[in-house]
Amino acid sequence: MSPPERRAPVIVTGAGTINALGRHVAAFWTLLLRNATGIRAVPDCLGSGSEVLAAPVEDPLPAVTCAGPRLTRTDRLALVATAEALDQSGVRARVPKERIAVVIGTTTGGIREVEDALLARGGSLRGIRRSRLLLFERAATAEAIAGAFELEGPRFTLHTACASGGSAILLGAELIRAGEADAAVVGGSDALARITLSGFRALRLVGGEPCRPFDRNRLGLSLGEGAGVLVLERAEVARARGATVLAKLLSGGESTDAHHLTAPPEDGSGAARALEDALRRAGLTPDEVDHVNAHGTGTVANDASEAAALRSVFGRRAARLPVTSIKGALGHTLGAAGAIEAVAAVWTLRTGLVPPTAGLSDPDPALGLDVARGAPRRGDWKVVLSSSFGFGGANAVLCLARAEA
Amino acid sequence: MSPAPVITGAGAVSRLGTGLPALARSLCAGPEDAMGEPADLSERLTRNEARRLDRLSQLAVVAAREAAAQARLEGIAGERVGLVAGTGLGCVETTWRQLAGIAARGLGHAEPLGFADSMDNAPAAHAAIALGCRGPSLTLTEREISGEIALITGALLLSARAVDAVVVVAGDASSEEQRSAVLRFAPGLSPAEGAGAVVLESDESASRRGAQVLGRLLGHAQARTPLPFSPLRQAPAPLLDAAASRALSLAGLSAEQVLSLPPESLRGRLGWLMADGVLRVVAGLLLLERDQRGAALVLGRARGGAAAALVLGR
Amino acid sequence: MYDARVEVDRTEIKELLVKRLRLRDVAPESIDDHESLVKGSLGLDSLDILELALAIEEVYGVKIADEQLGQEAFRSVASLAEFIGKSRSASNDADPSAA
Repeated sequence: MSPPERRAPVIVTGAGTINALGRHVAAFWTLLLRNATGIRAVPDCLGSGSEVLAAPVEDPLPAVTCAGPRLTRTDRLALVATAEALDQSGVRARVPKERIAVVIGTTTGGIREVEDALLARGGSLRGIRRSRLLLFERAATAEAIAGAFELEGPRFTLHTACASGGSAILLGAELIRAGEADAAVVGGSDALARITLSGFRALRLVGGEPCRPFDRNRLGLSLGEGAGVLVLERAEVARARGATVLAKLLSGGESTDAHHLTAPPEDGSGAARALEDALRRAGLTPDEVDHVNAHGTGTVANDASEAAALRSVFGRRAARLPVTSIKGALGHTLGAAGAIEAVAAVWTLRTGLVPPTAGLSDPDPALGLDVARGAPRRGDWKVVLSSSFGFGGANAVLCLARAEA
Repeated sequence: MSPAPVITGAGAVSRLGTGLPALARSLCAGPEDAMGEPADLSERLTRNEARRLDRLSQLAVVAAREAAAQARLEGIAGERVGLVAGTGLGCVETTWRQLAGIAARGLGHAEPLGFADSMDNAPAAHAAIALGCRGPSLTLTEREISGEIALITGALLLSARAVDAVVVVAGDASSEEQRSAVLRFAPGLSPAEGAGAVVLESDESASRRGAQVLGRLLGHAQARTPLPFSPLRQAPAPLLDAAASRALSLAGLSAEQVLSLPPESLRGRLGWLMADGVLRVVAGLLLLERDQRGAALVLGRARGGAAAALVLGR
Repeated sequence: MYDARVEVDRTEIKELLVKRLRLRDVAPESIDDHESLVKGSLGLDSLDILELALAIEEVYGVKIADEQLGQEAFRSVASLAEFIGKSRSASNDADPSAA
């Protein structure tokens, strides 16, 4: 069996996000550090007449360039986050547009707008399918980004459920390493939709109160919406143009559970493999990891399985390794989650602060983890892992390092 | 530069039949535009797969299973086998069932089986479970070049050494959306369902285990138009040329040296399904068996201004 | 006096199983009362059990808590019949105007 090859680092030069806690990174980060949460009781959620616990982005959304009638909410969220990331990065001034790739992950795409149209017609399907074809084509978000910001490199839209944002970042990095692009705009976006609100509840994965990741009394996840985007560049290119290095993406690890459509195996073995592969491909040992930005949805099953994976990889050290989940603050943003969490991981490396896990009050001792709670943890954080584990058993782990490390 | 990845297994379901032999027979005989019956897949699915899976997931599992069996994929450790799926429209039937339920019953509508099986990556998940693929799994959507992009992504996973082999499967099930796409963008063709699958493997892994080589992926390229471009407009011919010439140059071949399979080719026989790229690659491999040139160029183009080219060798 | 503590008809449950889980090629009468739903010939998984729980809540008006899903209640048709019967009679006892 040939060992995974060591990967060359790729540089992060820009980051952007929009979510329930803020419309740009600084606002989001400030509130995240203060243990705030955007999960709330939303009256008449999506015009349903019922009150639903969720973490929506406040309307109206910020204006976006190239606003067209066909833009979905998922598109708009992605455009806002991309604008911030590109603005910070400045990559377009120096890298030709055909050398900048776009890789976006999403789970719902334009489904919310299909739902809106269906309900506007009283649920009648007559004639609606024909005109909704375009909304079923999830490639539209990456296309909107490419159009708004004139990016003409390779373009990919991918789906690994709740791991989509993480997978998109890793694919973008490999495009750069393969020489297919010199830079990449990568991330994920998802708007709240009825199909996911009702679907997760049908699976009994939603709690009746805001989610409590890793808590002894956790009851389930809460849904949110948003977008997260990073700009990645080949190291030589970033260096040559004197770009500000936010962090280094050393490597990634991906695996599939091949076990069950929605539930992870109890021992977290698939997740453990992704964690180990990420470290091996970065040329690092578990001892060199300072912090894990976890998937941490707050369901009984996920948190237990994730903790089992962390314990199997880190051994006794797992009890002292700072872990956080931002899903208590943002809810589960599905396709955006892995990307927004990557933004948070990058900010941890830049600021030396691990954000607390909102919603957590009584850490479950059975998990054997050290989860940041109440206040940020300051430290000399040099290496961070960011994990996402999706339905369909898709696992994606990013290994990020501090700029000077 | 490392040797080209090899294809060690192939599988297909289309209106021409289920399995490679049916496809091979029909490619070289019979009238164009034959309207086949929707394939009965029950013989090739477990009972639970037949009752639970969305039609697209069923098509994908059947095609992938055939490819994996031919490649004797069990000879590679599951952790080193990835899976990449491509689809234009995803699990439309199951998605619409969910939406109809929500329209009728509001947010309280619940159908646990249906929600999970409506996800875009459900076909990949089911194929991974069926075949024991525990390496990376991804699902790509890119309209009419979803299949080609899935294969390009599989090749990227191989070159990144993330896997030793990757099952690439792409297809689409019948749906109103697909029918309306044909009416609008490909009038004169008839909509159909189908899925194609190949096992793409590193040359090193295939040699080491003595796997049968059906073909090689000698080159691939993706091309995008200068922006802005509309999702209603088909990519222009020069874009196809750009993708083709780059892929041929990577393969070290010229246009005269290859059997050319432009986007419209085979659609008379296979019918029009959005993600037919891998199915056309499988057909290309079958056609190569009796072509002296020894190489084929499979071309695809998509609305939104994208084109892809794949060069296959024997 | 009508005793509501009678277990629910097992054939009815088998028919519900076949219908809601789309077990098209399975005749309800061929399902053994005591065979394991998950480990037996039907080979159901946890998503099927969720779907079944939903059907039971709808048809019989009982509430099924998360913890009960993996338990004895859902082991076989016989155990389900007993569980539903007990749950219904428990709620009838609580509400004297019922029955």
